[in-house]
Amino acid sequence: MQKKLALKKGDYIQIGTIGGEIHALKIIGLYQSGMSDIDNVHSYVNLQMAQRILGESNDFITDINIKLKHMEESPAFARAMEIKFNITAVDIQSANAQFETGTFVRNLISYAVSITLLIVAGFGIYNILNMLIYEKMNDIAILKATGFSGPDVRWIFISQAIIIGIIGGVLGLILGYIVSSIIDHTPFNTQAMPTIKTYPIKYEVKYYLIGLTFALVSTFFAGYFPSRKAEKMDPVDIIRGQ
Amino acid sequence: MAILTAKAISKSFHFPDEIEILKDISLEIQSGEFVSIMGKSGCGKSTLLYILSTMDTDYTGELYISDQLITGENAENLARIRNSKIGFVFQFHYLLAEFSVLENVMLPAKKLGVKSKEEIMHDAMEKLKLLNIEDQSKKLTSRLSGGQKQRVAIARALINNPGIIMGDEPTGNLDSKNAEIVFDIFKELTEKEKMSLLIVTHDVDFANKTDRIIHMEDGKIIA
Repeated sequence: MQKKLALKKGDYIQIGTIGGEIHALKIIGLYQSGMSDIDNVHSYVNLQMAQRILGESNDFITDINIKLKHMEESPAFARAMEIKFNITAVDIQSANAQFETGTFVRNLISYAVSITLLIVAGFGIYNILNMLIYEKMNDIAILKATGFSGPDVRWIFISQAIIIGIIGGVLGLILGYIVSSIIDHTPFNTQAMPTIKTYPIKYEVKYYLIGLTFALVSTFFAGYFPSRKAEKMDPVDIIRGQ
Repeated sequence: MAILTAKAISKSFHFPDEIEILKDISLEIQSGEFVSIMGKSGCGKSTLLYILSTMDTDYTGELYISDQLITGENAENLARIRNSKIGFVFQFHYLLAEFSVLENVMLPAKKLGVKSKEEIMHDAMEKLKLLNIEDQSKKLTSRLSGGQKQRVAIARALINNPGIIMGDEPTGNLDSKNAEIVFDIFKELTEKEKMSLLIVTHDVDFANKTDRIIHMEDGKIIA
């Protein structure tokens, strides 16, 4: 709006109301919300001025926007306000329902893709450990022959899987952090959100914990099934098979 | 004193056909005795050894080790008995390639968990000295010769001072010179350490030098 009308701070403008009055206003500041829909048509005046432009008395107010510290409390708060003051209150979630649905669907897609990838990786580990057990058949036989019990042997393979999980998980998180900080510094210019210069990245411990947990759980199961096989192997069969 | 007693042991394979592989075998091995089992391939001598070693539990009859009934024990207890009372030497050495000689020898003692790590290490070095391979103790087992590997395997069998050592053709993969070394080691063990030995072998010369030969044929002891 500022660019379209070739205005700058300190300029005077005149606006005419429907009632035929003319008001002179001074531009004291420029504001950009980042949403072009809003920026193209909106400008702001103080409350007394607005009441004068509309020709109303100074107890006339159409809307009050309230920002809460915790957004999740907004629906309950809106209900409480409606009852207390006998007014219409709309919470931010219902006001932006369309946006919420979009976010939900996007999250769903990204989780589905990542879980699929992790399951594939889990199968990879399962395969490797399965092959490893055949490769280590002789070692399993001698461990059992010299007095290691089935659970001992199972524990060896499970702990190996867990070690793979921990190392892989931690390396993955470090790699993920590096990649996301590279993306965080990548220029990202869009008309819709002029205040953002690089891709917005949310660094939250929660997501790193989810990643690590999933890595550990998937490698545990990938190791558990082959280790059961190792537990059940009969040393006599292996030694006699030589 | 009998270290190992077997009473009326029989075993059958049920698949693919019903074959009786061991028929009513009874034997007794005294403490400090050096016994060899001989017989043609397929006569059941290895099968017998695996039953006596507690690894194979699918048989009928009774087995005693140091006058303690072993038959019917659960897998956990059998593993403990194998760990503390029986030493194994196989045709193939079965050493863990990723570990050094010393670590391989120490492994069964670590599982037993009676002694501290230092004591076990000391014991393992003693056993290696007994077998004249203490200078190889830091090497990876994959860097040893066949005869040396077999001696390491014997040292591993000895680490928990078992009452009996069982061997399934322990000299089968060795040349005559190394076979002789292994035999001399066994002989020395029975004489000096009063250890019992039960060795399955094809080697007639080897068997002839032992205290007693058990001849087997078609699942029976014939002599």
